[in-house]
Amino acid sequence: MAVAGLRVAVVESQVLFAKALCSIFADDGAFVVLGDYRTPNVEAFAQGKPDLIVIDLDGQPVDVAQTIVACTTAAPEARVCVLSMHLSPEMMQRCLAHGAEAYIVKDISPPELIRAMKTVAEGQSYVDPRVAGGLLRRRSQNGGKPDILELSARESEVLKLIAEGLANKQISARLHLSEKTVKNHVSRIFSKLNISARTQAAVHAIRAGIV
Amino acid sequence: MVPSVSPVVMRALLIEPQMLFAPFFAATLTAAGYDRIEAVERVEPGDAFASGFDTVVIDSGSIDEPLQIVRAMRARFPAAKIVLYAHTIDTMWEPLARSLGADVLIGPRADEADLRAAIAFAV
Repeated sequence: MAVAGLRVAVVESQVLFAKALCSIFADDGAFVVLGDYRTPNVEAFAQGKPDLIVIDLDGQPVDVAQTIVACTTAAPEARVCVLSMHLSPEMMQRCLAHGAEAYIVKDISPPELIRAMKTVAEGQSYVDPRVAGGLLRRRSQNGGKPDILELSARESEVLKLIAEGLANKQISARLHLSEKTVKNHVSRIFSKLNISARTQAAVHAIRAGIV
Repeated sequence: MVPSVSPVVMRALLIEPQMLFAPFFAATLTAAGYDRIEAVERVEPGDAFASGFDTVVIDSGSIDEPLQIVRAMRARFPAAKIVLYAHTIDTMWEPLARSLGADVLIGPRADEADLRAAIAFAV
């Protein structure tokens, strides 16, 4: 994708900050600002077909996963960039796992933001190096294995129900899945978390705040 | 001979932890007539500043203890107008902020016109 005429939509709960973000993009010749919205605007995204959607996570009324998925569903071609004030590997992982291409902490300067956005528009990903460093350290401490935050949304749901003490049959009824599918999910969860028992899964879920 | 009069220099302190937004606020302050703007990510009650300020603008949303900062800035700069930008405003928070020294509060629905009005009021 050429870095010119990039259509960008801004999702920012605070009006003043939305104007600030729009002015940053408008001042750079590479971007065309489609609009700013307090929450993801499915209709506007479907019509405007943005190349980039910038979401300021702070202040969004619903869970990050819902916010990102709402954007990617409405504009499947758009690349979603998350702004946050949290230097949090967990939050970054959640964002990336749900489809974001960038995790940018808001203490960067406007030129750095522009550079990051152009990087993403070119098809690459961008994560704050401080947060990425924390993630790499954690992985290294975890023997290179991914952790609970790399579970898919469905696997997280299954894990939550395991932690609530439900058997596979009950989970299948609750989630309207076959028991075999639930077994497959459980198997993948165990593999990803490097565990072998449901009680261990429950402990992971509680530590991660899933239940 | 007419004595020369030094032009009044308007100074503003901007406390904005989200530095991404600082240039926007600084530009708005400049457009409102402020000559010198010092933008900082955070302040501590004991921080030293080279000069006084006519106005202190605080983005309270990402500060751990915004009310303590309001109180500290009021004590440090008794004559300054303090403009507090709050990401949420509830019925208790506003009188509390005012009692600690905030002169103007603007909230999450504030737009550029509201910010300009707040700054103008502060001047």
